[in-house]
Amino acid sequence: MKPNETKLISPFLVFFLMPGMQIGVGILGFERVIAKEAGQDAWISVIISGLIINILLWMCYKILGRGPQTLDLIAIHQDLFGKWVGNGFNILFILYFILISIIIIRTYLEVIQVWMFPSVNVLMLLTIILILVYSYVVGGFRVITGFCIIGLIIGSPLFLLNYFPLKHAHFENLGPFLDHSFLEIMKACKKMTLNYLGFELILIYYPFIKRREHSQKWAQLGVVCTMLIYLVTIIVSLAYYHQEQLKDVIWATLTLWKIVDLPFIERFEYIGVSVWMFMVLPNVCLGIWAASRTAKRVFGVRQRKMLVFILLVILVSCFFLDNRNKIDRFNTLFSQIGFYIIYLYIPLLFIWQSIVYKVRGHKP
Amino acid sequence: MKFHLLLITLGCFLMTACGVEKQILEDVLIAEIVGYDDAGSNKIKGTVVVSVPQPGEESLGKEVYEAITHDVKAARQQENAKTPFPIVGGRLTVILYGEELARKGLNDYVDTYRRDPMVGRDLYLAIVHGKAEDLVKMELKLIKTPGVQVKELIEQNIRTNLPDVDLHRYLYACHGKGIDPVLPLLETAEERIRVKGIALFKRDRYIGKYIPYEDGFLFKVLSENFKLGSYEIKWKENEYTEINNVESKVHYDISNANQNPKVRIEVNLKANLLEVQGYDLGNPVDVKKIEAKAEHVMGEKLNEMVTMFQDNNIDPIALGDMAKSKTRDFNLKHWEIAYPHIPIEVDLDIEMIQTGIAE
Amino acid sequence: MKFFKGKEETDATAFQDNSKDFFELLKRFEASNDFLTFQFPNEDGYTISYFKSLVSAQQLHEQVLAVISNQPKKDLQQLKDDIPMEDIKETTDISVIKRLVLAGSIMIRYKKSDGKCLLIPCGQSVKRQTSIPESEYTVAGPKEAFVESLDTNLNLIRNRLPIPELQSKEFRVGSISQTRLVVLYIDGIVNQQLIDTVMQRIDDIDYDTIVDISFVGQMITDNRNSMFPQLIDTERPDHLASVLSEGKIGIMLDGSPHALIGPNTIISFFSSFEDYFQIWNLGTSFRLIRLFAVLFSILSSPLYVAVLTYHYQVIPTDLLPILISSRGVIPFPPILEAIVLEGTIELLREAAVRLPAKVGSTIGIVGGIVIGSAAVEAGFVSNVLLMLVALAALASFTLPIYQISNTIRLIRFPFLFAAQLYGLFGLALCSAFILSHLLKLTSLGSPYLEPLYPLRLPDFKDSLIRLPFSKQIKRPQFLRTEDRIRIRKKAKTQNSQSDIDE
Repeated sequence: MKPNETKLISPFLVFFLMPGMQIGVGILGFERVIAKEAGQDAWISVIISGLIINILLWMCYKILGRGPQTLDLIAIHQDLFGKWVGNGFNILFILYFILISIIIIRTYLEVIQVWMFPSVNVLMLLTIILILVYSYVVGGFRVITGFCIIGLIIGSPLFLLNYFPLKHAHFENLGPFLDHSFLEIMKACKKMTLNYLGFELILIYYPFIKRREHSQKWAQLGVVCTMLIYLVTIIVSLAYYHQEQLKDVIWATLTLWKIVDLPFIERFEYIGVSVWMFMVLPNVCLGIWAASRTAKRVFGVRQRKMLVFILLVILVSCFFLDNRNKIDRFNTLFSQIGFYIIYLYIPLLFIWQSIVYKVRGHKP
Repeated sequence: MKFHLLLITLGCFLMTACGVEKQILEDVLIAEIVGYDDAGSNKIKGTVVVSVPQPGEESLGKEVYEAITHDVKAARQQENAKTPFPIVGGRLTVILYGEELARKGLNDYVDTYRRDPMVGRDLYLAIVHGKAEDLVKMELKLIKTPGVQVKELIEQNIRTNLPDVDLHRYLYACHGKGIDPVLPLLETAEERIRVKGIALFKRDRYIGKYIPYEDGFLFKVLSENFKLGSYEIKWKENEYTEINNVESKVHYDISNANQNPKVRIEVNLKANLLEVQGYDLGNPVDVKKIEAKAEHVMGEKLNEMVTMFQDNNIDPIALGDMAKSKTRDFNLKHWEIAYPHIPIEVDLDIEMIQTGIAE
Repeated sequence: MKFFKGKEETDATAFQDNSKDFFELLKRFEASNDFLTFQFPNEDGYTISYFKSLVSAQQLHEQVLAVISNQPKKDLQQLKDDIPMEDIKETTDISVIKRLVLAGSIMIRYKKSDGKCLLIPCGQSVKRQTSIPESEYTVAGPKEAFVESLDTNLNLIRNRLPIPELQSKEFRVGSISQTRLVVLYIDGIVNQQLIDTVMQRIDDIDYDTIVDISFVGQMITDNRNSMFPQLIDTERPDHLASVLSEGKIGIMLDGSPHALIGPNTIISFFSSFEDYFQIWNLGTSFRLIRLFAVLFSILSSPLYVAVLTYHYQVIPTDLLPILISSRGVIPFPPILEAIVLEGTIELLREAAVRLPAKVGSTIGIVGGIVIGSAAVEAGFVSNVLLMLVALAALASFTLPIYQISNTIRLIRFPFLFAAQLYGLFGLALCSAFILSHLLKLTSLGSPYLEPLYPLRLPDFKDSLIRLPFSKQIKRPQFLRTEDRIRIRKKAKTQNSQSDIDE
């Protein structure tokens, strides 16, 4: 099951994979959710949860690095829990990856529906996007990584748009510093989790990295980079909107783009929403890739077949998520699942693995 | 496989073609200005100016459509009943509200625009002294340069006498606590549109008072840092002179906001002036005298203005918001009760720089 | 080599089935009227036969007939020593005889009934003088272009790279045409694996006549269905010589005035060789301008369609009246308008290429000015779009490589359709589809989008931008050359930072 030497990626590309997977559709509207909890101190929780992610990432690397270098989560599960229980966990992860993909793709489609084409036929649009995803995922991990990087390159000019709201910014809105209780800030941290999800895919694509042990510093830097991007975005939003106002703005970042006013183009959000596809789709591709790869390893079926199957599942499930309420509920549910997986499961796995290796006295 | 993929893609593209509604540029009427008036018995009258292509001509014509309904959305629908193409609001530049309507509260009539993703945020709101309808119709009679005259008018005055208020700023002030919005007040005068002043609001209600256009400069000095504008000072009977703002900075000093609030507003104004009768501008002593005189005249006006805000229990310069961002565990209730009686001191410091090219 | 031998064997056996011996072959030669056979110098002299159309008459008279006529009849072995020509063969092998006679050799037999013959290479082929490059013309730099003769072309390259490491491997391709094909590379620089790949692919070519190098190009590229060219087709010997020393491979074919270069990245299709003739900062700027031109050329009319069909909001207020009034009288939706106009431009381009140069330029003027303004007058298209499309066409002419400019021409149409279907989002979708194709594409095994992906910062020095020659110390990474260093001399020990006036 070892990936072919030519399919591997350089370790420093992990730096791009991290933000490429973490920054997606969430950044368009995460401000409202965390500002509800922590008000002007929301930016602190962005930093705190970013740092926690750094620690969790370190745990992931520990989990992966203890065994032989070619192990991924699937093999680790099978090794630690035996074939049957291990595969049970693996199937849970397949579901989790599919869920990630569904939530991202459906939320993005909702943005398109709300902001560009209220009467668009979602099913058709979805089909086209899934075909696009298919054409990337069949290219393999290397191609998806390329998509992540080029997506970031294409999408990064949009971060410069933060300059425009600064003209209207009230930085005094950020005061008073630390006026919220620790509990409130931690609550906001919890809400922030959803936006950092995606780093745990390292558990699956780890064997695809050359000189894997050197990739950790790049991965950590990537997470820090994600955090900085979120940090700048939340600070600009807090300064631009009044806190009370922010509570009503669903897509705060997108609404920010409305004020971009260049001599040759106005109302930048239309371009922004379109270009943002290059930030969103790599997430979906990577998620679906991870799901199909795990499925292939568990069931021993060709990945191409699993891929088609998973895409069909997504197509059908998005069909049922047809209004804002359902999507919102699904989002909240997913946020919970994601929260438990990264804050609970990863540390538990970390500890369990140490115990098992201690007891066994040797590595697999 | 690839070929099949291509076929499927193509098929999907073709099928979806009917899924998205098109808004072809010349097949929609683009609304430029819309005005709302109170039409009695819970109804409003919407008046909209749209640009219409004139066949064979380079420039665009403009037309007015009207409708009387219960809410904004319905008004647009009724207007559509009279037009060859649907009216779309994506490029709306100014929304005007009649005085009567504004007194009842604007929330219902702004909300649609806040929620509509088609509407931009560089959209100006304004109150019309009298009927919004009259002013909207005036747009047609004004000079036919490309662009919307009312918008240009507001934009031009924002640089000197009007606070920088667009839809976003209005919403910011309206939703925020400890801050009240202001909007430009326009009127029609002799076949022209004129800025009458700055309309004052308590939350979304126009309180019926306004700051006159001439004093708009003072309000602007009080509420933001800016660089243009001028103010006319009366020296003696029948003797006036204008000082030009070079740079004005305002700083708020709020102490003890949760118990006995005290506010000090420091305004630093760098100004120049061309001439004053009876004074020698080359003489430092005289310049000092002029500065003192101007500080006195303007400071008095500023204090009056702030007291007027307090008397009406409105907070257009966002002192409450300021206090909140500077105080831990800010008690908004307490502030709101205390606000009308807070001692507010305006401290104006004028510095004259550059005084013309002739001595 | 394997290929050639293999083919020849099967051919030879096939031939033996038909003509059991030499005289059968002669009979088939004689069936052509330009095959001459006569006795010289007299009735019982040698039997000489050759294709009149292939043989140089002057050489025949001066070096062969003159020698024979003055001497008594000797046997072939002696005659071979007498004739002052190189590479004379004495053989009975029918396959050799057939090949050489068809290549322009004179066949001399002692007697008419003999099977053994002397083959004197005396071929002449029509050659063109080297001329000025046409499709890759540059103002500065050398003005020589390849011609149809392989030997001339090799000469042009060898003159530029006088080192023994420059190696050429010769093949014969095409079961009927038997065209000579040469793979050129510099040993010790080029990656050995790359050579193996290329040789393997050339061996696998199976077609009857290979007329031009572009045939070969289409047969050996990685993805034969891709609209994007993966091998550069150049007519400049200086270009070929310079990329050979970078570690690329060149392929030349007899009868084709072009050489193929590979592997390439997509960026190399947008860089003109003239960029190197200018100072680096100018060269870089022009490259960036060209890249911008490509983007503009692809996106301008789709953007027009997208914005006018769906997103009137993004048009600036002051531009709005101009657009509305120009569109007001047009009876078609923007998409049809754009397709009509783009179609017209394509027609003009196609017509101008097919017509002789002098007429072609008139077509440009007639099309551009007369049809364009007439279409606007008639209210068929709006003048804004006319301007955009004309600019887009102009922008696509800035491309230095002919093949990619064809790609750019056609790729606009999917974008147009996508814009019609989903507006700006459709454009994003369409570019994502193309990106997925480009990410998967390789050129002779190396990634097409390099240095963008895989991200290799050092390779940016000569891709999107061109840094000065002193910075080009290493060869591009994507070629995985055996010798990475280009500039051996170490940079002068940093002259202690010179201050003002010191």
